[in-house]
Amino acid sequence: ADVTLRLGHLWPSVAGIHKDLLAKWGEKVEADSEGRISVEIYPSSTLAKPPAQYESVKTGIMDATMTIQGYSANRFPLTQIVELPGLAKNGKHGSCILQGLYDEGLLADEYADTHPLFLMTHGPGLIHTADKAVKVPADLAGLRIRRPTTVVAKLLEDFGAQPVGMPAPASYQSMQRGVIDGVALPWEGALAFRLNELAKHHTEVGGLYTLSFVVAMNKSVYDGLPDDLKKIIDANSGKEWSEKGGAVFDALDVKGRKQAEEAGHEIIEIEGGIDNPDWKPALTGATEAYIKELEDKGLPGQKVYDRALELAQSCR
Amino acid sequence: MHMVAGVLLIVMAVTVLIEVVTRALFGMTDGGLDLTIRGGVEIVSYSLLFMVLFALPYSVSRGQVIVDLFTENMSERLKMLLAGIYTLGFSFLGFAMATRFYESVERVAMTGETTQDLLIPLTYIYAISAFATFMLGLRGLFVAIDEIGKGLKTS
Amino acid sequence: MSASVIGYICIAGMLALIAVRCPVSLAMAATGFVGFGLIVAFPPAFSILDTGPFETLTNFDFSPIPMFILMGVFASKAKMSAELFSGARTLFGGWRGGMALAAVTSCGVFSAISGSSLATAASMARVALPEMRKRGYASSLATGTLAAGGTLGIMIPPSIALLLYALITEQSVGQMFIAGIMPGILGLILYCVAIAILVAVRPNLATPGDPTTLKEKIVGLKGLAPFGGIFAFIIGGIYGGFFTPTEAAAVGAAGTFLIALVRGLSLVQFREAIEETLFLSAMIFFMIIGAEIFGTFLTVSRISFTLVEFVGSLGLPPYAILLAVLLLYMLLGCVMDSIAMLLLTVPVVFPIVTAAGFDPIWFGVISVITVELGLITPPVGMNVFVIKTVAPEVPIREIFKGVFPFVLSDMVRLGLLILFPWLALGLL
Ligand code: NA
Ligand code: NA
Repeated sequence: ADVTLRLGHLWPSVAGIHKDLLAKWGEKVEADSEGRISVEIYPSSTLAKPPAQYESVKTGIMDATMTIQGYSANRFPLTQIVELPGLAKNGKHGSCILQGLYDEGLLADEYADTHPLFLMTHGPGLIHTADKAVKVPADLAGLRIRRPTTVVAKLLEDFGAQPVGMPAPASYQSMQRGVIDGVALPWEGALAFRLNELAKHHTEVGGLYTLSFVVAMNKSVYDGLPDDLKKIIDANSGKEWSEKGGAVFDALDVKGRKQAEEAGHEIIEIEGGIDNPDWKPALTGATEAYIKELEDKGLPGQKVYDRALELAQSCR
Repeated sequence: MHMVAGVLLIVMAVTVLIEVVTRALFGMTDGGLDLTIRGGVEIVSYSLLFMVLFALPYSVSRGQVIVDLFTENMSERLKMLLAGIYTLGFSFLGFAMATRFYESVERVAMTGETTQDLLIPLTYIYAISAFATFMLGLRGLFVAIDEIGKGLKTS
Repeated sequence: MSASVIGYICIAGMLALIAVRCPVSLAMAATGFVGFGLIVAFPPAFSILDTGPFETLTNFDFSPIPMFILMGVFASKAKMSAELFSGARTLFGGWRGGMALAAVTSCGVFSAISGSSLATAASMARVALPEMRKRGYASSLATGTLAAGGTLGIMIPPSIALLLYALITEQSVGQMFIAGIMPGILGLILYCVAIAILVAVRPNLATPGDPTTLKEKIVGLKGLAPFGGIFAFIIGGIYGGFFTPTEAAAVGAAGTFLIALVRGLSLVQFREAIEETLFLSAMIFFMIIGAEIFGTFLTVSRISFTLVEFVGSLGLPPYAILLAVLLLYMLLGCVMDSIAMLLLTVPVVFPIVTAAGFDPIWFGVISVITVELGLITPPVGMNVFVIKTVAPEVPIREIFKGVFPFVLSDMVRLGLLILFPWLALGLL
């Protein structure tokens, strides 16, 4: 091969995101370039720890990554708008909104130091608890819940839960020891990190939150490619792969939910999702507070949020 | 320097204890008594970082693990000179880390990145790290000069 | 030149550096830096010098190391460790090697609950080593016991190694943990057998105490009370869900501090305790940082990957594949960190081994035992280095010598598990 791309990510190599998305992407790029580009994938954070992955692409420790923007708190505040309640219906839908915002240049400033290939979100995030079933927000009071990002932490806090930050792979052990009472993850995460072994209750509040992901490449590596190879990378960037990513997350959600159903767990579906009167006030408050915070910093929070709402309408 | 590290060690232990105790109180009173604090994990993590970084300069010259299997017949002079060269290596490591941390300060100043729970600007974190590793470099340099000097004097 | 070839040359370079008295931490960091630079490029090699240490040192999972050391230091300042060992001495009476048995058992229990063999080696060595040597134990036996004892807890839940194995192979974590219990206990039993044989064959390794009567033994139990109490409190707290294994370190440090305070700990002694803890922690973290930088280089060299693929391509019969894989793990373990080894090799090894008809859970137990052997095998054995930090006056040769019988005993354990897979799978 003329070029070897080292792509690192945080999932185990048996996870759907590795097998059905990133490995497929690598194979496609290798095939399209007739082997002139070779993609070496490093799963399980073996090249850089999750919080350092984006930065490691920038500095060239690895050439590309798929990582979570929220792991670098406040570095991607406009991107994380897509994580707010009520925007994304599922992975495909959320990915369409996020990629749409990016393609329109609304998020460009946040990614100035890498070359993003495509962006996506996972499916609906939900709350998985070990012993206590969460039927109304009051049930969350005092529960220690593992949360993925500060945006989600804020939501949980508004319901009186104690958000605890920890990497997803660590949640199994913490939950087993009773250090946390539950986790906020999509079904895909419950599947990949085996939390259906411990969590017996699952509360689906439709539209509660989602999480954004980016597949990004080192800028100078991209710029240094000959034009024909650049074209191949370009052809494997953007909307099409974003949609595929969202679809992979959605398929894994189905699998994860089925695993819980078969184990006879209690799955609580909140009627009306976030529009349910028990849940709505706090969630609306959280969204407003987040947008205001961005505006106070001089960022176009409202503009991006409004556009995201429009995209939520037009995206399927 | 290592006074600071000592204080951080105590901060770490006390923070964890506060977390354990307040959590137990919360549980026993069924949520009635909520003294739980935010960001305990983060306080411990960054205390660990600074504790170690501030303790490194103080430890660079002594107690490093050396495998002394093959050098029993080496002269004292050579041993001393080698020790000086290796300490110079630690000094280089310190300066290189300091440079990188300094560059990170500039970077996060642009992006406004913060820590996850307490939202402390990462500029502070990297600036302190840059200072501590710079001290590692400096102290390594002085110790190395001293060791090499002694080595040259030994016959 | 291919990445693997650069990799082998750099590993040889590191061993050469270590042989000419280069501090282990620096040898690993320097090799990692140069190797990464040669394989990838030098500007990013500079970046691993800060990202590696930063991510390592802000890792909450490492926070118990200094606090468990602090616990050990307070325990010895408060004379708790001396009491503990004179108590054990009375209890074992004229029985040769009794204290080594006590030490290896406490290390096993301690590492089982704390989940960290480095923290175990550091704190237990601080408690036990001076006492054992004072009481006439050969330094090889004393240090070997402590270095090896810390590896025992890895099989007993909670176990990060087994958890990771389950995640990367889609096995049930619960079943994985259960499968680890009997092999963990078996490991302890075999270590005790190893000690018994050792002191029988070479009686000069351990001097026996004076024979004691039953009554004296019962009175002697009192000495075990203070430290044993804290030990029990920690275990109870973890299993009762009051605190995590990580938090237990701070609770233990506070407990020994309080007892030391009651026994008249002076401000000067307090400062000494803090300084000693800082010094030992700094040394240990120097090595962890070095290992982290070195590990990043090993990852991009893809050595582990190409070796495993090579074994898979040989088309060997099932048991030959298994032995080849285990041999490879032992070789890699000589220079490589255990967790990194699992993450890098298991995805490649697993399909080969399961296709050969081996049980996936059983193989998890087998591979974790083998990989963890790397903690005590020369030339790079982190547990051995930690002991060396606590006891700088003991030549490293003595420690590796002391560890050797335990390596053998782990081989026996592997053999038994291969002959009788039931030992791992029986409780499922
Ligand atoms: Na354990
Ligand atoms: Na080893």
